[in-house]
Amino acid sequence: MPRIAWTALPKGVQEHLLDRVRIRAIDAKDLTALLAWVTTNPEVPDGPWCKDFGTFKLVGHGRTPSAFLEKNQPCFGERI
Amino acid sequence: MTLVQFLEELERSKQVVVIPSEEVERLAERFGSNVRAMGFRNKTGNGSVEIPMGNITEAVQMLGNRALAEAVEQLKSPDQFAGMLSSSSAASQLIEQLSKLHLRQFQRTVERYQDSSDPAEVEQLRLDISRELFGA
Repeated sequence: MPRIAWTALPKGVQEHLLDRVRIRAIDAKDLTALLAWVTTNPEVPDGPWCKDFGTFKLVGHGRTPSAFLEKNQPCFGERI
Repeated sequence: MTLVQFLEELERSKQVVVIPSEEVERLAERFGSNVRAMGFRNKTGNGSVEIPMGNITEAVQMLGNRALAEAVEQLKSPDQFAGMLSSSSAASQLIEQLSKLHLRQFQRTVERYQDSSDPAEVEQLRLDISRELFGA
């Protein structure tokens, strides 16, 4: 399985996440869990995948993360 | 020098231990992925990890391990830290403590970012979070 290419996350997606954090739509503890997870240099499936952090979800395809979903949006792809 | 003086000196000097990428990966292979979370990880650059010396002494104090405390106090320069980790029997505990401390500091930064009403502070905290999370 490939390892996540975290720095490939588009700048606009990064900024959107920080906007959501500022208005508390994303919990500080969940964002910290994301940092802890990314730091492990995780393996991700070859196809579409989804990782649930509680107040948000991260989705991607293969090694490339692509977007953050809101808490109430359903996961698609393989749950990791 | 007493421990308090030593800690004050560290606070004043703002010394940072930089562990080069190859060393980080070597330690991660031996002690697990917590090694990468011990401090700020340069994700877009060379993959090194930066740990404030103040965090190292705080983590050592939390562990209450006398031998480890003495080893840290005897460090002549920040460059010797990775070597000390490799030879210490309490290394995995220290790595875990440093990683917890670093993540707790990040969470506090995020909470301040959410709470602050000062636009300049909000901007600075946003940059800090972005740098930590995305490396930019």
